[in-house]
Amino acid sequence: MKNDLKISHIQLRALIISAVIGVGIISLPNDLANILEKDGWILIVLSALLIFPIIFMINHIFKINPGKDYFQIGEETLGKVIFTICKLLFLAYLIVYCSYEVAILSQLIKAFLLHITPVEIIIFLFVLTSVYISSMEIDIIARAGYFIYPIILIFAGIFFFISLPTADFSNVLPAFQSNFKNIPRGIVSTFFSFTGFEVLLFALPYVEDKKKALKSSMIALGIITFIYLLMFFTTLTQFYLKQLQGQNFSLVMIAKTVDLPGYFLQNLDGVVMAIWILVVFATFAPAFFGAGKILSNTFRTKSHKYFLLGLVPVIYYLALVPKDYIELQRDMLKILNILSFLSIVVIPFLIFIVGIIKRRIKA
Amino acid sequence: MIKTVSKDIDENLKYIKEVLKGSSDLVIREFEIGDVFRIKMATIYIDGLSSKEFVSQFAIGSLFKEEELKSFTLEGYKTSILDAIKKDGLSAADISEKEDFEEIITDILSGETILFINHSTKAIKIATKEFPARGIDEPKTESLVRGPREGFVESLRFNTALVRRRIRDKGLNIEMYQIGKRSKTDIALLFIEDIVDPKFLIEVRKRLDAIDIDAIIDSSTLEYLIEDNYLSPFPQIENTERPDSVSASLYEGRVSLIVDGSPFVLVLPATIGTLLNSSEDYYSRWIEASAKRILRLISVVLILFPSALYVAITVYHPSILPTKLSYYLAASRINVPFPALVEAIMMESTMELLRESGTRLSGPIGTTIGIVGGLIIGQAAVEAGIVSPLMIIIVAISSIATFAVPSYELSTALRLFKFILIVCSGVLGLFGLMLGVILTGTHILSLNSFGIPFSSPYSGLGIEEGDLKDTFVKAPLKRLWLRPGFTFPKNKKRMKEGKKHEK
Repeated sequence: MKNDLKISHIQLRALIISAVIGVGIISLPNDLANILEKDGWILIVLSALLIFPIIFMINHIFKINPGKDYFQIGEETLGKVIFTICKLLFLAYLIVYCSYEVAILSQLIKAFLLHITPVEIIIFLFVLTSVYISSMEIDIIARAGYFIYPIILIFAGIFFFISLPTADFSNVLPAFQSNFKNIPRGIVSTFFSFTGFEVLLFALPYVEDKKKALKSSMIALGIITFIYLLMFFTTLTQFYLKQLQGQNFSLVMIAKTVDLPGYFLQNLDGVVMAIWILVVFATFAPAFFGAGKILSNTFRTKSHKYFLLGLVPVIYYLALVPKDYIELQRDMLKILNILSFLSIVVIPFLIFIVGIIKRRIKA
Repeated sequence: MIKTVSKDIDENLKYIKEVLKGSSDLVIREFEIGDVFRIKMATIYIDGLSSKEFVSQFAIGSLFKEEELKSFTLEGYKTSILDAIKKDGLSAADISEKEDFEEIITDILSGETILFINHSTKAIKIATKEFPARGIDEPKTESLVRGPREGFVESLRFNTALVRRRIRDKGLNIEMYQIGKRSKTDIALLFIEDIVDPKFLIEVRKRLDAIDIDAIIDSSTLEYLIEDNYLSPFPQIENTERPDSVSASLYEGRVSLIVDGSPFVLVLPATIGTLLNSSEDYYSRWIEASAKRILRLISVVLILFPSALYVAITVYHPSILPTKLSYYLAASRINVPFPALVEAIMMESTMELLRESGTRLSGPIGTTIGIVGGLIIGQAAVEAGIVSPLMIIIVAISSIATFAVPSYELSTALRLFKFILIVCSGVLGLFGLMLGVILTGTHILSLNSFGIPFSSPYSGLGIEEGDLKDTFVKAPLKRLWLRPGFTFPKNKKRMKEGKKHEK
C-alpha cells in the first residue's frame, strides 16, 4: 500500500495537546503568580478564549481550500512574494522557538539531573536525536503525539493526587484581589504557553475526517486549558503566594517535596524531569519538522531531511546565545513572543481575510 | 530442445532423461499394452516422493487389467487412445492432461507421476504425491493450558486442511503461488474474501509477485522478502504454529501465508497489539486474560528498563531513591570493582550467553546449563564481589520477563534495545535513557506492516473502533462484537451487540 499520509482526528487532538504542552508548563504557575497573583487562572482562561478564534480561522482556511497544503494556500491567496516573506518569518519563529525550548531544557537538566555535564552536549544530543523523528512525515509525528498524550494526562493526574494530602485550599482565596491592569501584559506572556498549535497548519490537510477536525482541535484546546488550570491550582494550594512567586520551577519543587505514604518514593523530581524530557520532545519535534518543511518547500526539494541536519548547528548556536535563565526568559522570550504573534496569528489572519475578499470579488 | 510433448514416446523419454540426468531417484517404467496393437507407455516419478503402491495399483495395474485397452484395435483410433485411457484406463482420483515440458518436469519433481503414451501429444499427470511427513503434533513453541493441541506441520496440504477444518466458510480463499525460480516452493495465501480489505490484499499479491529469489526454504525467508522495513530488528509479520490462531486472525480481516516445508505460518499485518496477544487469551475468562495482557505490557517495560535504570541511578542520580534504599545500594556496591555500566553489560551478556547455549542443547543438558548458570555463577559472582546482588536480581527479572512476551522475535528485538538503553544511560544518566527511549520509540513509530502502523492501536489507529478492548485488555466476548479496526475489514460486525442473559 502506498503509504498516503493520513491522520485521524483523534491523533490530531493528541498531536495538538502534546505539541502545545511543553517547556512552559514547568514555569507557568510561577509566571502567572508573578503577574496576577492568585487570579492567574484568569489569564489562562482569557488566553484560551483568544486562541479559540485562531484555531477556528485555521480550520476555516483549510476547509475552503480542500486538498491543498498550507504553502499552496498561502501562495495562492497572498501571492508569491508576500508569502515568501511570511514563510521566512514563520521559519525564524520556528527556529527561535526550537532554540528556546532546548535552551530551557538544557538549563533544567543541568540544574536537576546532570550537574557537571556541559549544556552544549545536552543541547546538541537532544537536537540530533530529534532529527530522526522530524525527518519523517507528519503522520509519524502524529503517532508520537498520541503516545505522549496519555503520558501527559496521567502525569497531570498523578501530580494532582500526590499533592492532595498536603494541599491547603485556603491558599486559593481571596480571589479577585489583584491588579487587573496587568492582564494585557499577562496575556502576552501566557499566550506563549499556548503556542505549538501551529502544528495544525501542517497536520490539517491530512486529517481524514475534516468535519471532526475542528471539534477535535477545540476539545484539545479545552483539555490543555484544563491541564494548565489544574497545574496552577495544584501549585497554588501547595505554596504561599510569596513562595510561589519566588520559585521558577514550581512543579519540580512540588515533586521534590512530596513524600508518598510509606516512603517508597521520595524526591520525584528526577522522574518528573525524565518525563518532562519526553513532553518537551513532543513540542520540539513538530516545530523542528515544520522548519524543515518550510525550507524544503522554499527550495522545492522532495525531502526535508537534509535541511534538518543543516538546522542542527543553527539551533545549537541560538540556544547558546542567552547566558543564563534570566536572559533566556527576558530577551529571548520577548523576541519569540513577537515572532509567534506575527507568524501564527497575523499570517493566518491575513490569509483568512484575503481569501474571503477574493471570494467575494469572484462572486 | 523441445517445449511440448512429442508424438514419439522415445523422444520424450530421452528428453526427460537428459534434463534430469543427475537425478538418480528418477524411476521410469516402460511397458506395452494391447493384444492386437502394442502401445508403448511409460510412467515417470521420483522415488520417495510418490506412493509406489498407488502407482503400481491404480496407474499401471489398472491399465493392465482394462479389457478394452487390451483388445484395442484399429477402430479404437476413432476415439483417441488418450481419451480411452482417461475414461476407463485409470482408476486414480486426480488426473489431468499436460503438454508443456516445463510443467511436466515441475510436476515430476514435486512428486506427481507422469504417464506418457506413444502417438499421443499429451501426457497424463496422476496425482500421487506422498512423502514422508511428520504427524500432527502439539505446537512446541506456543503451548497452552486450555485450547486445541494441534499444530501445523511441514506439508502445505495438511496445513491448509487444518485451517479449512475449522472454517467451513465459503468465503475462505486459498490462493496458490509457486515462488522461488528454482525451488518452485508452494505458497498458499489464505484470506476470507468478504472480510479482508481489498487494498491490503492487492498489496500482498503485489509483493508476492515481486519476489525474485532462487529458493524459499522456510517461511522466514518469505517473511524477510516481503516485510516493509528489512533493516529493523522488529518483526513486522507474525508467525504462529497454531491453526486456531490463524483461523481466528482470518476472521479479524488479516491474511495468512503458508509456505510448504515450514510449520510456521505467517500472519499479517502484525502490530504491537497483536504480537502481545496469545491465543490463550481467547480461551480463558476475560478478567484473567485482561490481567495477563496488562502483565505482558509490564513485562515489556521490565525487559527494557530495569538494568538501564540501575545504571542511571547508581551512577548519576542516587538521590532519586528513598534514602534507605540508596544507602543499601551504595553498601551492596561497595566491593564491586567495576563501574555500574560494565557490571550491567557483563551480567546481561552472561545471561544472553546462557540463553543461547541453553537453546542449542536439548533436555537434561539444558537444565544443567540453567542450574550452573543461574545458581552457581550468580552466587559465585556475588560472593566474589564482582557484581552486586541487586544487579543479579534485576538481570533475572528482566530475563524472565522476556519469556512473558508471546512473540519470540519481539522479545529478541526488545532485548537488543535493552543493551542500547543501558549504554545510553551509562553515558548520560536519565537524560541519556530518555534520548534512547526517544530513538527506540521513533523507530517503532516509523514502522509499518503492509501500510498499517506497527504501533497500532497505541498510536491511534483503531482507537475509535474500540481496538483497545482487544489489545490492552480483553473485554468479555459479548462486548467484542466488532472486528478490530486496524485491518479496515469490509464486514465490520462479528455478532449482534451483546446483552446479558439475566432476567
